[in-house]
Amino acid sequence: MVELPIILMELANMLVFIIVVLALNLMAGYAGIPNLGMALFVYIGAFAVAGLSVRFAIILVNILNPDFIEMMRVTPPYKYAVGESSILDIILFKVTDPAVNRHLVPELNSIIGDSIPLSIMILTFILASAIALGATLGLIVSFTAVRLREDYLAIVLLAFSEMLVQVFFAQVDWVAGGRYNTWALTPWPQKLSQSLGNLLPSGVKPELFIGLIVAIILAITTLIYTERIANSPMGRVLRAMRDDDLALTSYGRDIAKIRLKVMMVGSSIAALAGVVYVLSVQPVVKATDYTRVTWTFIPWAMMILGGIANNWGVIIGAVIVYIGRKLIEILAPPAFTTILSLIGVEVTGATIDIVKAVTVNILVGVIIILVLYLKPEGIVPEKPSKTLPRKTLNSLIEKFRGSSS
Amino acid sequence: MPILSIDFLINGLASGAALALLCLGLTLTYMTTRVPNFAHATIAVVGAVVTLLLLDWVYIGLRGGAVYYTLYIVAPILSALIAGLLALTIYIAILRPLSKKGIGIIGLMIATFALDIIINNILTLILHLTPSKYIGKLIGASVKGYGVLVYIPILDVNIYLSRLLLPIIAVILTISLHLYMTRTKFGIAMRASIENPQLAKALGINVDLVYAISWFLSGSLAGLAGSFLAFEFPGINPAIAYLYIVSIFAGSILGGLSSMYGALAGGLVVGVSEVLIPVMIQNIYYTITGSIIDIIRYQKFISLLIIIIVLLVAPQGLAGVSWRNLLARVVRVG
Amino acid sequence: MSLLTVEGLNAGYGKFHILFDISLNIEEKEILAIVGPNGSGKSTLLKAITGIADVYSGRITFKGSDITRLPPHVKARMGLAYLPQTNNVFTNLSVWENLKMAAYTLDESIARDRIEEVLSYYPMLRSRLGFKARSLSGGERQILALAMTLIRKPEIIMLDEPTANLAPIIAKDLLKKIQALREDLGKTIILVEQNAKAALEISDKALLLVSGRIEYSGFASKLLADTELSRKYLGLR
Ligand SMILES: Nc1ncnc2c1ncn2[C@@H]1O[C@H](COP(=O)(O)OP(=O)(O)O)[C@@H](O)[C@H]1O
Ligand SMILES: [Mg+2]
Repeated sequence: MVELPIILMELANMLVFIIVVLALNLMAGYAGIPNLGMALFVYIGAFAVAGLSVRFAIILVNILNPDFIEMMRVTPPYKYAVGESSILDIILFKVTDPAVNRHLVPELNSIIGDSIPLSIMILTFILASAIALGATLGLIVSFTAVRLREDYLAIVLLAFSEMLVQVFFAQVDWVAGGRYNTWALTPWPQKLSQSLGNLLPSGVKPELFIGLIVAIILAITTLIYTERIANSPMGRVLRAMRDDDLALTSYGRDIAKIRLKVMMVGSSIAALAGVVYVLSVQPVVKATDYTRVTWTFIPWAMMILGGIANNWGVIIGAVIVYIGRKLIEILAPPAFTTILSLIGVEVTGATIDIVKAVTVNILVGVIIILVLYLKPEGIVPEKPSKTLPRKTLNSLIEKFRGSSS
Repeated sequence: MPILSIDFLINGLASGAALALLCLGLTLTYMTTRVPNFAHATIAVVGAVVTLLLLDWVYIGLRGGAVYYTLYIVAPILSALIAGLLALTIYIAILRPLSKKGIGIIGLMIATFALDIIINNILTLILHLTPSKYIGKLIGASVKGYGVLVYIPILDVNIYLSRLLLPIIAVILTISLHLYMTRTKFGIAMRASIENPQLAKALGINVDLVYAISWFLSGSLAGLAGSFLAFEFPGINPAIAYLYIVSIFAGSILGGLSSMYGALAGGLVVGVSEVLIPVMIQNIYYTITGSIIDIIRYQKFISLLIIIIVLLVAPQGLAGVSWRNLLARVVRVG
Repeated sequence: MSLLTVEGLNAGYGKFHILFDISLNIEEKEILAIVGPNGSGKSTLLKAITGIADVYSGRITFKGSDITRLPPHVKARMGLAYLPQTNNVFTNLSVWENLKMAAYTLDESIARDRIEEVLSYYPMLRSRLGFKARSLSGGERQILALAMTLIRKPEIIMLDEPTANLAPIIAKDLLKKIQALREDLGKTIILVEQNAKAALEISDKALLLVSGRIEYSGFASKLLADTELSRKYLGLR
């Protein structure tokens, strides 16, 4: 009944959430940074594939073929939107204009697809820029409150996320499309897609398959990486700091440094998740889609349900919440139709969609509160770790002090 | 073109007054129970929705008659009551049990974050499914047109009554709250419990009751502000709360999250700035260049800027500034 | 019959066992000094009697009835007052508001009379009624705390280091005022003090605590005269 491509896409989407939750767990679970701004970091990764990489690609292509932008001025359909704009104008402002973007992205895709080196360069740029943007934003955003209590940190993260994604990126049209959406590049070599196309079952697009593979690789890498951090001396220091108020006062400065480090790492991972999401699930990027409900609230529910500060636990939480959410979305509409017509509301597709979304959100919220009340340690509790003797903790902190300065 | 017109000033004042009430409520529960309430803006939207429903079911039918004016008494009171009870329920049914089970600040904060989304979605559902009597479509409905316009002869302007009333009510509420907190035994006990709950308990003060009342008060203030804001919102869509909460936090952080007067001042400053600064910049820009830049839609950015500046420069906010020393220094210099 | 007795008390905080096998008794209108090095458990002993610290075993009786397990506010109502070492007044409230809070559970008319009574007893406070407690000096603050305690007419007043951080002259004056509580009002007093000599001089009995155990229990004057003990634990010559 459900077709293979849909299952694969859902799988990729679930992997994206797993990566996001692992990143969140690193920041909130291990380091005690209550990141209520996850949506921003996921979005910035999406921006790296869409708004940003298109600009990089057009510059690259223009270097290889110096007439490329020049030609845009005279060829339809570009010429109506581009007109007499300067090259800089076009690169900065016009590529995100829907009238240009819709034609430019497929054209760039086919140019990139024809050249393996170009494709590798673009891919590298996407990954590098997502990591760099994630880390930089993580640093900037947490800098204001990293020395303050955790609740201030949470407020600042939420404020930045809402303002940057929902006000800045969603309203300033030229940066990333703003009120319109932008299309993302699919930077895979044509040859790879073609040979895969012959192997894959019919209906499964090669791009989806490659995206899925990337998602799997990134999810596994993230798991191994976060597990290693968690079990490293740094992980033990993080937990000691999270649990010990005393440490907060006596090591304020070092905590700030370590927090900033964790924020940079966690934010870049979240940004990479955003990249994977766009490459495999949703190539049309619009800032207003990156809501706090989808990318902050749901990952938090996954983490709390699975078990804070336990990587395997949060993965289980992610799987349960993801599948549960899908099941409700698939199974509930008939029930909603019955209930709605019983209470005398006119049933339209739009109403059903709203009722569906609302039900999922309310249930996810209820799960958070119920888990906090009934089983705050989650399904898989945090592994008990021996508390460090103060002397060991001191020497570890000395070591970080040395290494980071 | 003048840099500011009288309507914009009144506009800014109304927005500042509403935000002052909201920051006061948020700060109050933060001071008593130490929880930053992420659901506070949504509780205000509950007030706006109550007002919208009251309009649609009852008041629009009474338009033209003198009874219509009671809207400005009935709607705020009803909104405040319902929002107050909601906040009280949140505290008694969810936050207090969680806190008694040993859930820390972060857990409680996440609980309010979850509650925010739960209540917001319930409101969305209500607005979608409730049949409308007059307005047609409740979700996203703008009720501005149903507000009463008042002509003020000296200023020669027409002003919405809600905008005029909001600052007046905020002042009255501030004065009564001040009297309550300093002149009544229970008000003093509230201040005592905020400063030193252990000692207050030892003296026989029912600190739990104080906390519960602070949540009810906080919710009522939010509901009241929301009721008036219903006439200011471009359309009542519960999702406005997701941005509005940032302004509330901005005002509260500016106020220092540790004093009720700080909260009022912080809210006023943020609310007024959000309205007036973009307009001023726009008008100045127009005067200089002769062209228009559309920046009003970025007005909420001011809240973010204020948060950043306060946390970097004076994380204790207005309440942490030693005004006496500052004044002394200024006087000495001047 | 003793007013308050403690027998074989073992107490602490959760799994931290602090006090071992403590016994003491105090008669009406006596002053008992509890002295000992820092961290020896003096505050914990007061908290155990008040019901704030955990009592593992032993018995506390007040006027012959067992009060070991009663909650703090019930003990307070029975006439047992405890003045903590710090945070014993509301600094953001005015002196008058502090007194009003001390009389919180009393009827309005009784409250007014009691406040009037303590104000005549400590006239200094009357001139400060409208000031925030924050603006009082350390000694004035302790007097306010004493006044707040007196409003509820306790029989036993337990004071935890009331003279800590006070200038010597002020500390001496405060100890005189504490002694006067017994002389003027007939109160029974348990006094925990860092300044052992001054405390022992105004006390009838003394208890020397070292690492949670009793090292001496008896007349205050005898402890003062015991050169060995007072040199070893109290830093006196
Ligand atoms: N709340 C507490 N939890 C655990 N241990 C405590 C607590 N308060 C004090 N202690 C410990 O109990 C011991 C005695 O403290 P305390 O009674 O305050 O001593 P003193 O008043 O004689 O200086 C100290 O070792 C102190 O660290
Ligand atoms: Mg002590």
